[in-house]
Amino acid sequence: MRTLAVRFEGVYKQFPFYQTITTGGFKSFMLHMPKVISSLKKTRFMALQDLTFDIFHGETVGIIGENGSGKSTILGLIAGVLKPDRGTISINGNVSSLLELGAGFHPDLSGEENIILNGILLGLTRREVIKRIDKIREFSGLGEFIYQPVRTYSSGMYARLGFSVAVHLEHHILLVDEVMAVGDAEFQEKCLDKIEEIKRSGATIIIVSHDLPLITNICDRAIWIDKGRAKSVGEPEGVAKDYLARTGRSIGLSCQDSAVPAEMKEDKGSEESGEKKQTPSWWDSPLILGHVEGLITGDRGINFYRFLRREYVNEPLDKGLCIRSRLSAIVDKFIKGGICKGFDVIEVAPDSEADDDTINRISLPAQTNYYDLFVSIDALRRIRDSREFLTKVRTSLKERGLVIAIEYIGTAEGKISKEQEEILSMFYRLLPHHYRTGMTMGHPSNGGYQAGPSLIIPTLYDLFEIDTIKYLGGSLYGPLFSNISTGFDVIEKEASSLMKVILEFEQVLIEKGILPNNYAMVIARKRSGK
Amino acid sequence: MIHDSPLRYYRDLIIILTQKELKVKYKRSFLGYLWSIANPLSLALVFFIAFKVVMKIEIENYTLFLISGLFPWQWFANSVNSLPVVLLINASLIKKVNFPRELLIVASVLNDMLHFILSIPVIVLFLIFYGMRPDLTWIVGIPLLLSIQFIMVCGFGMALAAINLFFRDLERLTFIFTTLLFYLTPIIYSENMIPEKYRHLISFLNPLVPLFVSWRSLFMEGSLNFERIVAPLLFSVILFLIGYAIFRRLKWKFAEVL
Repeated sequence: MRTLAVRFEGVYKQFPFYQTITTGGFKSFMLHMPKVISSLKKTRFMALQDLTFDIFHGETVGIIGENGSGKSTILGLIAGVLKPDRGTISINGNVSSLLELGAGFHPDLSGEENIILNGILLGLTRREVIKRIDKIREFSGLGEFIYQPVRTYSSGMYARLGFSVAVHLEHHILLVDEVMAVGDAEFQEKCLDKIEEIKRSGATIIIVSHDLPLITNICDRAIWIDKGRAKSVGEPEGVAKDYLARTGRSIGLSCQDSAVPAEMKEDKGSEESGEKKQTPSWWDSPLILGHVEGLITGDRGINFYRFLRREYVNEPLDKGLCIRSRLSAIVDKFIKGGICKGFDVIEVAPDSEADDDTINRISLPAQTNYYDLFVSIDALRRIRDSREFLTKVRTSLKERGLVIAIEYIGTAEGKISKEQEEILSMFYRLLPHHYRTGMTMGHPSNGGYQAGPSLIIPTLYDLFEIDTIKYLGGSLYGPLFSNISTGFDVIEKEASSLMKVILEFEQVLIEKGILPNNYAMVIARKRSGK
Repeated sequence: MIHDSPLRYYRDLIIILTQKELKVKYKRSFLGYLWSIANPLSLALVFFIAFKVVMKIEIENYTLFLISGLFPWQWFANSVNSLPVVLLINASLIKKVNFPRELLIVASVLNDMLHFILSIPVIVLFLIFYGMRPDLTWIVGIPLLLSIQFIMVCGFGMALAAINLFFRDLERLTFIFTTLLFYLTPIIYSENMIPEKYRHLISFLNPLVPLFVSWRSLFMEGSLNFERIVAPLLFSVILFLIGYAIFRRLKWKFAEVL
């Protein structure tokens, strides 16, 4: 029978903006007293709204959420430094807080004196602290420094001391507020071990952190707080995923794969810190991306963008035109990868067949000799008359302008044999069920496209000077490319890996000539002088 | 905070907080304790020159007269001036840990009181210098007056510390208030130098008057007038109750405003 450690029932907490008194100063306070007082009552910040949850003894619970979502308010309420406006909070057992860097330490006192001070402040009698002081001293690993005033400590040493005291108090409930990021790797490891040990001893641990891997690794449950409400409660993985899905970022949890070049990871890092939030696309899955990039460059160790720069683009190009049906992240990657400084983008609806509207919707800027680069991603076959379109593109390109097209090139007949279809359906069955739905076979239905896919390459041949053709995928590539990109969970490592394996198999079959090669990346240039 | 032995815990907490203040105060200074008496002594010197040498005030043993009022005053003023910020200084603790905050005030006052107690030997030295001796009444008188002043300062402190969080101008106002109060209390002059018609009014309005007059007569004459300390005793108890009520009332808002 599990006993309750912490129970929140319909808890509301508001904060008034106290600054309104002081920022205005005394004069304005006196002059506008009634107004100020009424505004004090009105301008309140809802920190928590109708929050209800239970935490049981022995559980380790992570609280995640954006800054200002109310996480620290929850800890304050549990610690008993705040009182709820409405609702009830019951706490069973004594609570100790892992203090933020050096809170409660006095810089002029020695480490040892501070241990006693901190221990008593956190609720132990002097005798009880003395009993533990050897363990604390040893755990902190501060050696002789323990007898020095803490003002001489580095911030890492401060954190060590604070952590050492808090975890040795043997309280029933331990609150940890985003303090584990300090200290060196070795000490961090020690902290995690200690937290595991506290966990095993049956204590309740409540952790507030932005470090999702930490939460998923050590917590039994997680609570996602959003604007003062519990948005999701349950298995840490699930909650973390919900949290990521909403914010649309793949922080930390993205699968780490050796196939992804280091530069690529840095790239992702800068994307996380960026303001812009994007829905993760299939192209953003490091596993698949690494795989596809490897196919294109012929070497997994070389980032696709670095490959482009090395082979085709010496200086970042000024202006690009991108036509695409999906994978909106690609434009950003081209910019971040130093290929091109800016893009005009034409969207082609992913599921639309090339109807009469399509060509009208594509309003190609009229400028001639304007673009340095033309990027087309799985879009040309959706255009009714791709030749006319490409002619327009050609006019707008500068002399020797670069063309990069990742496109369906199809088989000459536009269909695949029975045997090939069997192999493909075998692969489809391997995919998790929910990725299969809505998937169609890669080849276009007859008559749907007036310009047959097989015409794309000849057209490109006619209009541009082809530099390279890199074949990179067969019939599976199409549905993966166009259908999965919306439903595919880039965070889920298992699915990512499965996709990668399937693509790899397909590649082998293509090489053996068993499956036709349906996708290619074509790199071409505008012919000069014509 | 739930605790098995709350009394022992409270005691330990008060001791460690007071100890911390004491240790920290003189940790990095060479002369240490001497500084706590240097300040009132130098003040005494200034007043001696101004009033005895220049203005020829007619009070016997004026130096002793001065320090027997200045030393307890120093305790009062130091405490009252520093208490408004005591919660601000400990903001990081208050926001995180639920320990009895009242004890921060108590420890701070205790600390200043200890300094005062440690300065009593200096008074004794001056007594001997003027050919006098400490009296047995001190054994009763000092603890009694100490307790009255302690309760009074704690009362002031709780109210000031709590309100100052919401109204930061209070710490400046407090400083002006204590400076005014110094001259409204017979410390550099004697009570019977106040014009007859104001004398009763002032000692009625300012409960520090009977307290400081009692300190002086205890130190200089070894006499204790119990009738005179009833008023300050009542005042300090009422003040303490009011201060504590304010503190309790606002306690839950501390972590919000800090």
